[in-house]
Amino acid sequence: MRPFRFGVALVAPGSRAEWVAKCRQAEDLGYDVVGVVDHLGRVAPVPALLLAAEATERVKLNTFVLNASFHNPVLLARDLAGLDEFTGGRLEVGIGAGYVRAEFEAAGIEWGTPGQRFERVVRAVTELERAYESRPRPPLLLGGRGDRMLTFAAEHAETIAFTGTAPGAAEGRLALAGPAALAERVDFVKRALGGRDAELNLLIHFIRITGDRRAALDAAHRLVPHLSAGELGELPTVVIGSAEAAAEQLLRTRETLGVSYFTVIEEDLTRLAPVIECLRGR
Amino acid sequence: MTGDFRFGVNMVVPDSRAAWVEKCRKVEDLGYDVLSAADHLGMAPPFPALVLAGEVTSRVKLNTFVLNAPFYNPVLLARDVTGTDQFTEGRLELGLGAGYVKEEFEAAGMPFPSARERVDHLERTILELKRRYADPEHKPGPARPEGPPLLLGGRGDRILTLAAEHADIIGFTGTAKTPDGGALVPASAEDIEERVKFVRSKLGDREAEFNLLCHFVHITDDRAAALEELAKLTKGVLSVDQLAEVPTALVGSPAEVAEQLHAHRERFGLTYYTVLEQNMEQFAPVLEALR
Repeated sequence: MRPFRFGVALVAPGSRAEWVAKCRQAEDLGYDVVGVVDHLGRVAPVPALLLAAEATERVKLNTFVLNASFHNPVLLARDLAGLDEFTGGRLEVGIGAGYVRAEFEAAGIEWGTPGQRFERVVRAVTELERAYESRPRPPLLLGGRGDRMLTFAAEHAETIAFTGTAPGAAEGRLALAGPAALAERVDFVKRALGGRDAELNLLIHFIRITGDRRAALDAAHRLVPHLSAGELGELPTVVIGSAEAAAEQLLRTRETLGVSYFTVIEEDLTRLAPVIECLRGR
Repeated sequence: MTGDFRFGVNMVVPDSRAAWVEKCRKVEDLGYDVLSAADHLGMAPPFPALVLAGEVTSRVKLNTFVLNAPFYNPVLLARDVTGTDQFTEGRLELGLGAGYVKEEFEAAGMPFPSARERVDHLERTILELKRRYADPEHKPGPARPEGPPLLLGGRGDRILTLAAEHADIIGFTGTAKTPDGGALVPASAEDIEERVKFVRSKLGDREAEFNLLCHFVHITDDRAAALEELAKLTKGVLSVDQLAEVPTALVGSPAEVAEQLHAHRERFGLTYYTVLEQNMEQFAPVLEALR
């Protein structure tokens, strides 16, 4: 069984001092990976990871995840190889197909078909691999939900990231996959891996460390009305309870699904911290 | 201080982290005002390189010299520009150009647009950046409300007209008119003077700093011999007498070069020179001579 890893995907742009403080806080809280998202109006991922590396000592730095359609693959490979060198090899590259159509429109980039967006991921990965032809490339995380993307991830990535979302996820609405649907995606990847060992990552969409599990489940149900409180209670992407109970849940998820790397979004940075503490060395 | 002059170093050699850090510190220690990162394939990526440069220095301005604007989507570029401006606490000076290396467009899998299209793209980029700086909703915002100082570099009428309209710093290339996409050739002093006059006519009353990329530096006690050598090196495109006059070739003792710089300021209005990184140590005594 793989050791746990915990990552946070930072989102909010800000001053140098704010960014440095946030990265140090994540490292101090015990996270293994400091990541950045790739959205308009959010932090600029490549400069931000460089500064994150300067501000911290231990954590890995990852793009969680780059929208392949936003970047020319050759220039992206230059950015990533430069970041890898300048961060002393602490970079982990995450790439996905992009999913927020409004952002494509705002940037004047063709949305295209799912097949076209997938092809842009393939080109980004191909150029990265070309840039590292003669030496080992940084670890690659590929994330997504569809068969094509997960098959490609199973072929190329050291880490496979599950979105935990259901088809038709609309902006502003948390369209979470139910427990059975998520387990099915994990099984799909395991079959595609065909015995190859890869790290499995999951984004925790909702986390509340609380003594009042009932009230927090109700709050989650209001956000995700298509799943019952009962389903939410057994969903690996929803973590509710005391720190000890949450730790037990992540242990179970690792046991049953093989997912050992959990990521939260910036707003949940401090919420996951006591759980990380509970799981130290386990 | 070097009077009213500013001097920059253009970094063009990709390097390990340790070597990059050491070089950046040397630029500052030698007394330069600006550290510039070029934008070509096979070189370091400019924005992360400048953020790292900012972390290991305290004083120098950090400049892209110059970004190949057609390489970038303007909306995404704005995010990198304002993000880098924030992370370097306002030390960024943004340099933009229209791009000129045809092979790089091919290597990046992009069509090589016509000169007109490239300048069109540059103009859209400038307007998009200015619009984003002015929009309080745009995140990340720039370190200062007006955004980082803008340097525009080029030689053609359209790009220099754009520069006269929008830029805080006009970057003269010091190159002659050649077929688009072809090799660069040094311009004569008369050619450069003509370009300077053109920009002045477009600027009207507006103030702008004039920058020049200095292609050749040779600090020596024997100026005459060094000019002969340079004439051979540049395959006789310019005669020895012509080379003696051009501001793109700074040749002579530190005192002689300091004198040339004063003369060039009179003739061309140039006050900001950028030298290539391989010349930074050689040129440093000139900075001393101007103090």
